[in-house]
Amino acid sequence: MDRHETDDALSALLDGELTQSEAAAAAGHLAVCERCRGTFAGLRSARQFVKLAAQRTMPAGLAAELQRRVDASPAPAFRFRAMPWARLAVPALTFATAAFMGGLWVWERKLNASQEIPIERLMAAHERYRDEVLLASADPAQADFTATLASETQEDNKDTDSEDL
Amino acid sequence: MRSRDERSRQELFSELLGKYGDKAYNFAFRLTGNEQEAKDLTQEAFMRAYEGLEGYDLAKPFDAWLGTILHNIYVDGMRKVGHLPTVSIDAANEERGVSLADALADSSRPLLDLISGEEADRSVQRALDRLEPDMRTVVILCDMTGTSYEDAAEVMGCPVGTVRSRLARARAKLRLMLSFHKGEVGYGSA
Repeated sequence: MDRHETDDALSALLDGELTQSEAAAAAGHLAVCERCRGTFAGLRSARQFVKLAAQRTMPAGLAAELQRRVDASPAPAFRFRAMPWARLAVPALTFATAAFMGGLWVWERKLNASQEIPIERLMAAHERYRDEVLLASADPAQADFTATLASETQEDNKDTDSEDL
Repeated sequence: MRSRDERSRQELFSELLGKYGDKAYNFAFRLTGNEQEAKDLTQEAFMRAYEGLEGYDLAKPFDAWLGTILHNIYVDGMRKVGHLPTVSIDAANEERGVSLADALADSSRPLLDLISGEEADRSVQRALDRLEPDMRTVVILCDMTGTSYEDAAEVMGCPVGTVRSRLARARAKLRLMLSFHKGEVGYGSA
């Protein structure tokens, strides 16, 4: 004889919840096994017994009370229940916006830093250029002009210094 | 003054209350075994359903959704209380001078023929009260109200396989409780 059927299988057989092949195998076993037949009958009786209970109906007062409560209650607040994804979307969008703005700020600072003009280095380069290129230029006119400009500048500086004194 | 949406929402609620009120109350009554607790449970479930009506998926049956809400409230309430009273299956009938044990002593007639009406109703409730909550719920859903395994799984928040095994264990326990014996309702009978 096959193994006895489990309560689980017999209960599912009762409800037609076994597959066709499972149901056929269980029915074949029941035909030859008195013990499993008894179990099956007992499970079915238990199910029938529960069905003896009467169907309770909602007391009239309860329905009226519920209706009164609903009529008196304000419209429920919108809680994103219809769009469960929105619960996550709002904080996610806020975080993404904050991260983007932060990144933009850092990037802008870096860009500004790289574009700052190092005035001391620029002045030094200009003076070196003046000394090495302009003053040493073969063009006499240019040289004269540059020399004149240089001497005038020196004179101006002297005047300023003396005034300061 | 109420908006049009709000009015239509209340009309929808009234319709759902009329259609599913009895089923919800019956479920609550069988779970709690107590009229006052059943009223409170049903009321709370409907109010939560009303408040969360936007979240209801129209593709799913409303009674399964309402049943889920009701069951969750019941389970939460049980967690707070910590236990449920267990009572004798014969208690109600003993009050009337009849017991299932007496009925079983009469082996000439099937038990199901011996009890009927209010007596049967009380006996069933006593039996349900003695089941563990998960078993009680699955028996009420599947055997009492004819809910499918799939919908019962939805209400209880568990896999279909769990519904199947819980139902089998519940029926086996009921069978022992009621002391059904071989031949009382023979294999092959309706």
